[in-house]
Amino acid sequence: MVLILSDGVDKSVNTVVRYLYLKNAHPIVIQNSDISTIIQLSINEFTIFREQNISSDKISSYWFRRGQLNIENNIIDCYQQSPLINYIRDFGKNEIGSYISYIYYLLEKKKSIGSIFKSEINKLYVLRCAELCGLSTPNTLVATNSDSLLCFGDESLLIKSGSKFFSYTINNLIINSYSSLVKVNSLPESFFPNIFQNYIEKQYEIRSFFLINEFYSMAIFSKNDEKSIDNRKSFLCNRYVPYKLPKIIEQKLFDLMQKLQLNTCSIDIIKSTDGHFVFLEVNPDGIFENVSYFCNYQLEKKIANYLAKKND
Amino acid sequence: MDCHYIILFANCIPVKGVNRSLICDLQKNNISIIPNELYDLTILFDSNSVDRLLVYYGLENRIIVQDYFNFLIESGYAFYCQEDEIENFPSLDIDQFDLPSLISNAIIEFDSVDGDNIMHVAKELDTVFCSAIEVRFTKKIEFADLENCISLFNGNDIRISEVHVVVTDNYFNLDDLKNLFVKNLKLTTITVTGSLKQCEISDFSYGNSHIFFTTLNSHQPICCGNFIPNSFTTNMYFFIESQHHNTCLNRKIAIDKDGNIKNCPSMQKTFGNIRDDKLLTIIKNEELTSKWNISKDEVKVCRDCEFRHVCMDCRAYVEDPHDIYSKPLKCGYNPYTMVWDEWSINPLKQAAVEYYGLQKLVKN
Ligand code: SF4
Repeated sequence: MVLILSDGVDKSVNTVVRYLYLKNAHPIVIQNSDISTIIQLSINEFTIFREQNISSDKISSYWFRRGQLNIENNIIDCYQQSPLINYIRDFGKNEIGSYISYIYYLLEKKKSIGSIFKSEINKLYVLRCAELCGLSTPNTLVATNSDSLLCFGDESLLIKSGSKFFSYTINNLIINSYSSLVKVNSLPESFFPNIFQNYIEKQYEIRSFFLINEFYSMAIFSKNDEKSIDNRKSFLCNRYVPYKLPKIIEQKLFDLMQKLQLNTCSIDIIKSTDGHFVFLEVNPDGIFENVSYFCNYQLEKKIANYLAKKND
Repeated sequence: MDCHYIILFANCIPVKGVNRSLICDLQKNNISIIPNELYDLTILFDSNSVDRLLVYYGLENRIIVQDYFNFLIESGYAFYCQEDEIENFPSLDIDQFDLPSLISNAIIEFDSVDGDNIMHVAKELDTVFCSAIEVRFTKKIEFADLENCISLFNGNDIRISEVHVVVTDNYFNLDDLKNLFVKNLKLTTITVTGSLKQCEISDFSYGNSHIFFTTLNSHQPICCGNFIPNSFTTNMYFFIESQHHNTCLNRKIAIDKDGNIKNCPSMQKTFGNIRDDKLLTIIKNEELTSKWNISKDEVKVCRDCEFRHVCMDCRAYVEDPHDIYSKPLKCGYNPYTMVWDEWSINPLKQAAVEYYGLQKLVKN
C-alpha cells in the first residue's frame, strides 16, 4: 500500500495514483477533507481508519504532497463556549496534534517523498545554509526603516515576505505577496519588518525540482519588454525549456538539500547577466507540474515508479 | 555583443520534409514553414559559433544567413548564448511518451440507452484505465436518456475523466444541454448533429466545455479521417506521441453498437465483444495493438512530409487498401510538389475510393 497525503486530488496526484494502480501498488490518498480515526498507536506502529483500516505495517511507501492528516477530535464537537471549555478544547487539539505528528514520524521512517516537518522552512535560515554550501545569494536584510537600506547603495530593491505566500481577494482585487521591486526613496521612514534584497539583473531564471537525488531543471526566459520580477505573474509570455545545471552547482545544491534534510523541493535560481548562478529560495512543497510538462520529464511517472518499487 | 552561439529553444523543433521544413513550436502551439536551407543551418547551431557559420557560408551568403538568424530570434524560436552554456540547454526528450492508461481513449456507439449495458462498458473501460471517451448515439434519443447515460459515465467510482458526446438533434433545449455540464463535471463537449444551424457555444463557464451544433446528418464513420490544410495539431503530447506511435490509433479502441471491439469505428476487423470478452485480454491482441505503433515515419509519402509530426494519421482509409503503410487516402497534400489538391477527384485514388465505398460521400 502506498499512502499519499495531499490537500486535494488534482491532476498530478491523480496521474501518480493511476500509474500506481497500473503497477498494482495499491495507492491510498488522504486529503484534507478526510477525517480519520486512530485505532491504535504504539511506539512502532499505528492503525488509523478511513473507509478502511490503514496500518503502518501495510504501508510500503509514503508521499507527502501537501496538506495534513485530520483525526477525529470529539472535544471540538462541543459547541459551548466558556473559558474552561475553550481551554479543554485547546488541550484536546494539542493532544491529537501530538499523536498526528508521531504518525507523521512513523510514516517518514518508510520510504518516502517529502516531509510535513519541512513544509515551512525559514527563508533566512535557508539563505545562510546556501551560503555555507558555497552558493551565491543576494544581499539580504530584514529592515524596518529606510535609512538602513542605504547600505545596499541601490536605488531600487526587491521586497519579499519572510514566511508563507500571502494572497487575498477582496472585491475582485487580489492582494498578494509576490516579490516586487521598490524604490528606496519612495518608502516611508519606518515600516513593518520586510525582507529586502538587491535586485539582480537576470538572463533567465532556473526552476529546479529536486526529486530522489536528481535535479530536474527548467530555464525560464521572460519576455524582455516586461520587467517581471516574479515569474508567476506572467505565465504565458515566457519560454520554458529543459536545463541542465553545471555539475558544480548541482553538487552545492545537493549539499544544501542534505543540510536542510530535504528529499524533494523546488529551487529558484537566477542566471545573472554577469554569468553567475544566484540562489534565491527553496519551496519544500513546490509545484512540479510545469517543470514536468514543459520539459517532458514525466515526474509523475518517476514519483510513482519510486513509490511502487519494492526493495530499497 | 559578446554572444557567440545561437540555439533553438528546446521546444521549437525543426522537422525536415523533402522540399521544405517546419519549425514546430510546442509551447506556443504553432508552426512556421521554413526552407530546407534554414533547417540545415539549424543543425549546425550546437557545434558552431555564429561567426564560424557566417564564415562557413561565405561572404556571398552572409546577408541571407544573418537574415535567418534574425528571423529565428524575432520569432522567438532561438536565442543567443555563450559557448560554455550550450551544454546547459539539452534538447527536449521527445522519445519518452507514456500515459497512465492502457487505453487512453475509446469511441463507443450506442443505439439505445440501456443502463446495465452502459455500466458494464464503463466498468470494463475502468479496468484499462481509460481516460477519455466519445459516446456516439447512432439513433435519435430522448433528452432523459441522454442525461441518464452521461450521468452513468460521470460517477466518482469511474476513472474516466473526459466525456465527449455526439447526439442527433431531437428538439433539445439549449439550457437543458448547458445544465448537463453543471451536473456532470467530466462532460467536456456535446456535438449535436442534424441540427438546423451550424454553431459553437462555449460562452458558459464550466471549464473547457463546448456545445457544437452541426448540420451534418450524423457522425458516420466514413466521414472520419479528413485532411484539411492548416488544420494540424501542434502540441507537445501529440508531437511526442507521433515520434513512435500512430497519432490516431495509439491506445484507442472503438466499441460499436453491437459491442464489437475494433481499432476505430471505420475499420471492419473486430477483436471480440464487450459483452463476452474482457478488455484486459483483448488489448493483448497483437493485431489490434500493432497499429498503435505505425508512426508517420513508416508511412509512405508521409515520411517525406514536413507536416508528419503535427498531422493526425488515418489507417482506416489508405491509398492502397492492401498496404497498411500507404498514405492516408483522404489527404490531398503532396510533399514533393508542396501542393494541396482535392483528394476525392485524384484519378490515382479512385480504386481505393471504390474499395471503401466512399463514392457517395465524394459526390456531395
Ligand atoms: S497525411 Fe498528408 S499532410 Fe499528413 S503527413 Fe501525410 S502527406 Fe503530410
